[in-house]
Amino acid sequence: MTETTKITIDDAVLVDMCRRGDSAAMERLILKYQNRIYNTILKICANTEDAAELTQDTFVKVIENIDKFEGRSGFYTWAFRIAVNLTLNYCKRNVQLGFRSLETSDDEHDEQGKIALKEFLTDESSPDPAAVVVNKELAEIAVKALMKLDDWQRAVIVLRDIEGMDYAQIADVLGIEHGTVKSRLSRARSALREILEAVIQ
Amino acid sequence: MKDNLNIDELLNGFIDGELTQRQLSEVNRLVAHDPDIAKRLQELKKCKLLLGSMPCAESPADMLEDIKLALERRVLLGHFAGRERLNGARHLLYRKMLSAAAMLTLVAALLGVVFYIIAGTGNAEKQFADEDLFKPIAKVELAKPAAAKKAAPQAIADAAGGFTGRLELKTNAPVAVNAVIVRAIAENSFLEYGSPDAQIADGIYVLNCSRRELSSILADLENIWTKFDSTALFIETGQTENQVAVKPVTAQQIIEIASQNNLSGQIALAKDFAALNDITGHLPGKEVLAAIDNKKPDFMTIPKPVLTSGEKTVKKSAANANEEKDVHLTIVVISGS
Repeated sequence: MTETTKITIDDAVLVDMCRRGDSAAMERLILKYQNRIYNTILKICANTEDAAELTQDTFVKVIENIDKFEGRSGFYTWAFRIAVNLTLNYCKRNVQLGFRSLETSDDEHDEQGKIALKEFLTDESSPDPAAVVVNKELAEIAVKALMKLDDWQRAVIVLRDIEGMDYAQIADVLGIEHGTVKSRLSRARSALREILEAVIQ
Repeated sequence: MKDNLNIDELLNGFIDGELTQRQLSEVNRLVAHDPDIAKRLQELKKCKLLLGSMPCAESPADMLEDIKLALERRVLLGHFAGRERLNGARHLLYRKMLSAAAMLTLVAALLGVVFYIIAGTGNAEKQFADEDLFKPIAKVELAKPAAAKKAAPQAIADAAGGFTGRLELKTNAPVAVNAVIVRAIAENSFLEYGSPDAQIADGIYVLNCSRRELSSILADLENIWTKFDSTALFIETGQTENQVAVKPVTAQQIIEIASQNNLSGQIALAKDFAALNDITGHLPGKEVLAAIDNKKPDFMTIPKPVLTSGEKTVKKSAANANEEKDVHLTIVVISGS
């Protein structure tokens, strides 16, 4: 277990206070993680309303089960495990989410995006991250491409490339082996590359 | 394909910073010498960059309030649900206890009925003899050995030479056996049916006769001795609790016991017969030995007159009348195997 998976002092104190019924500590825990959890859920389920509801459900479950939290992993990892499990279950019930097509979007917008994506992918020089971030067309295409991955690939790539978890944390959150994280991530990025290549052709 | 996958995993590990120093050196070497791998690495980096460039969405502003409301709602619901569960559990417990009580009552009632049935016909009769509810009916009482005791003459035969006893004959064919006994009593000229000397009740016969007369009757009964499932002779000793019993007993043995001149002799012989019978009963192949030893008992058989008219049985002769009637034997026929 890496250093980052261990419970931080702040979280440990807040969790302990929360267990004793301190509502302020509970609020601080929620405020600390609500955006990150909401963002992760949104990137996996691709629906703002559902993401908000799933985030709410996640925190309700976290608070209700905080007495069962043993502190063997980080609170952050534990909370994300609950969030991702809820979201993946939600995705199972809404399979159609995984079949959203880029072609269903606005054509004009897609054309601009396609051009931007083509430039981005064919440029042999190292792209400027700041320039990519401000390019909304690229971001939209990325969101749509992400939706074409299957649930598990999407979850692993979101946790790594958006949430920034290391492999050990991903394994902990998803409840899979370290090697499985590597192979799934590799496949997810290959699949994403193929999806993007298909968009510009 | 597998190699490509492994290289991809290696390259992904490289861009994610998850490689060991050795793997890192390997990737650097591969990228430096293989343009395809370098290109692939670039593609993966772009993928990562593209995803990382996606804007970070912020949760709705009222998320915290929504979560708190949801928690309060859940607590309230849980409280009411808990109360409902508690009420439900109480109701269920009450119903279970009621059912259990009903079942226990039913079982107790059934046991009472069963006990009444068994006790009403079994040994409990004696046990509850004082209670009006379980008072045995007269007819049943007469058929029992205990009843026979009551019916037996209280006066014990003279210790100087008389014999007083009870013969219990258990049979599955009580009707036939009773008929034979009645006939035996009636056909013996020295006894008259209905006379005070041969009191006949329902399955109980009280004989006050001489030893010779006893021999005559037993000779008749010898023919049906095999019909008895068990036979037992109880010799009255004058003490209620000290009866001497020979079980099983043969007709010949009864005659021999009754022929003893005093009670001590009767008791001694009865004990010998009891021991002998007990040993014989345990001998292997006793049936075969009995068949081989076809010796008939040395009974004195008296010719029996056959009545062809409605004439009354002739009373015993004067010679017989002079014989001392010092044998008091109660024959009890018990039905059942």
